[in-house]
Amino acid sequence: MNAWQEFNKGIIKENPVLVALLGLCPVLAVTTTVINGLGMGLATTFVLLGSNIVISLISKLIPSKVRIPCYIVVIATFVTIVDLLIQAFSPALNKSLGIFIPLIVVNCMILGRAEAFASRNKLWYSILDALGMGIGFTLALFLLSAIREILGSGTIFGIAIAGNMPPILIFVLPPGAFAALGFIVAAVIYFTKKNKGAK
Amino acid sequence: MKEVLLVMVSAIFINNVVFARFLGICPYMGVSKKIATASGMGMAVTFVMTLATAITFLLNKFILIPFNIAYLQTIMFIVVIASLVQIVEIALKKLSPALYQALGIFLPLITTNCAILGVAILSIQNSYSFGISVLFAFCSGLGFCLAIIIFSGIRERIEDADIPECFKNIPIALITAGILAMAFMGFSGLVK
Amino acid sequence: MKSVFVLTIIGFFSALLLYVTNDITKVPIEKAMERVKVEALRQIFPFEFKNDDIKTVIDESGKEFFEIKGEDNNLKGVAVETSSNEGYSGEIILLLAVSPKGEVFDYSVLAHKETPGLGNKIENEPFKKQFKDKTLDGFNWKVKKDGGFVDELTAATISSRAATDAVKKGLEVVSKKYFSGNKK
Repeated sequence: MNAWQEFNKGIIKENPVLVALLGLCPVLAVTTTVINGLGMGLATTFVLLGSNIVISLISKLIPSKVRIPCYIVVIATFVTIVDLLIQAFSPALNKSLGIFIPLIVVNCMILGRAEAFASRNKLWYSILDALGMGIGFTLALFLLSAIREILGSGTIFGIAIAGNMPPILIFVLPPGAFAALGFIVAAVIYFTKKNKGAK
Repeated sequence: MKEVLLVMVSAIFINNVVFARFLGICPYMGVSKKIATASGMGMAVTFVMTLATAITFLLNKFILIPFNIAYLQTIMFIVVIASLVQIVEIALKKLSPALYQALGIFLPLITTNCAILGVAILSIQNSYSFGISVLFAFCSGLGFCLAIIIFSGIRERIEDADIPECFKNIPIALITAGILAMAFMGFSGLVK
Repeated sequence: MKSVFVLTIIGFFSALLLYVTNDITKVPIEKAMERVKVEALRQIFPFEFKNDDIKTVIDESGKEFFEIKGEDNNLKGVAVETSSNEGYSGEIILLLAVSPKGEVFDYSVLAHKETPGLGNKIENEPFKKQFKDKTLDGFNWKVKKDGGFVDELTAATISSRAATDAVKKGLEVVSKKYFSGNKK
């Protein structure tokens, strides 16, 4: 696999949310507005990048028996750094993401990439993998949050676009989150199958 | 007494971990195909959640706050939960092979279940007392059980239903969860 | 043995890194919290004031009062956090501003779990306006459905009731501390 493919795979083909269905809790919980969705996506990408870099550098030194605890400590360190930075520089984002910032630590996508990729590959590839997966995660959050914000509040980035049309409230509530994600995943499966058929 | 009742009803129904707080979605989607496995997972989660919240509460009160190192909360809690799961697994194997048979395979999955860490952090954010924290964790676990058992019952039926190819499995499960979440919204206002 | 050693080293480095990060971000976090508080206060007082004009007073029970002082150090208003458990799905927390005469200036909603589009209208001007200039006496602190003076929101009586309850409680706390001598 060349470098471009390593980067590219996370964005569409192996998208962590839409295809692999990892880390669904933050995906469903914070996507009520685009700003929240993007904030969560970028915070997660930062943690993923940091943990992939460190783990790919030190993986040879870690005995395999204690590798999972070691990965967890590394990931938790980066999560705490992000948490403190968000508290310091964006209190509004801190308030709306709330408990889901510390919960990045249990996002199975991050531990999954550490175990499946970063611990077995060179630094350069691990960085590309983290960036690709992070962007894929952020894109999925962006897509879901855009749908939910436009339909549910009639705004995008907080700017009203719906005119006098009453918003469909259910989309900012929990049921709308599940249903909207369900339809997106169905669409992804539909188009993947269609593409395969065409080939 | 009123507070106790309020915490219980709120944790099980109104602010259900899955439907209102969006915690523990991964195991909720992952191991809900059969009622038997779903109830096993639910019990394992309830057990670990109660234990983990009790321990993290004490840890927070007697170590993190006195030494002024609250910023280590995330890292401490996750390490404690990970080791707790290991210890529980070893202890169960030795003490109660029957229970280990039932819960054992779910335990490793629980470390990365965000509901455990989430409930532990939530009970500290809500500044509950020790007793209420443990009760809150136990009832949140029961809420998770309720959600996953109902859901797996529905999924067993859906398996046989005739649904469009691209909706099979996960998409239809997500939409079902959405409808269930809507049903659970009916509980809000229950206390009034 | 090697495992223990490696784990210790990693733990040590992560603690060190976090200690440094915490040290760097400590002041910005405090400043950010301060700024959020000041902005919240700015929104609910009808007059301008400087950051230095805010004085935080904490009473015996640990309750915080934010006093706004004028040029000659006279009290121009006081704000207090107040809450009600009567909400539709949980607690409603308000920041309430009161004039030196015990009249409500305005409030802002700090936290609530009410239904979006229905209950969250307690944050909006038409509902909030009803409380302006009202005092504890001379106003029936109930929604109209319960025989009071407050117009409840359509389809959100419980939220309206809770907001009214929270404002009233806040007023009571403020009057008890500041006007208990000259009341009744």
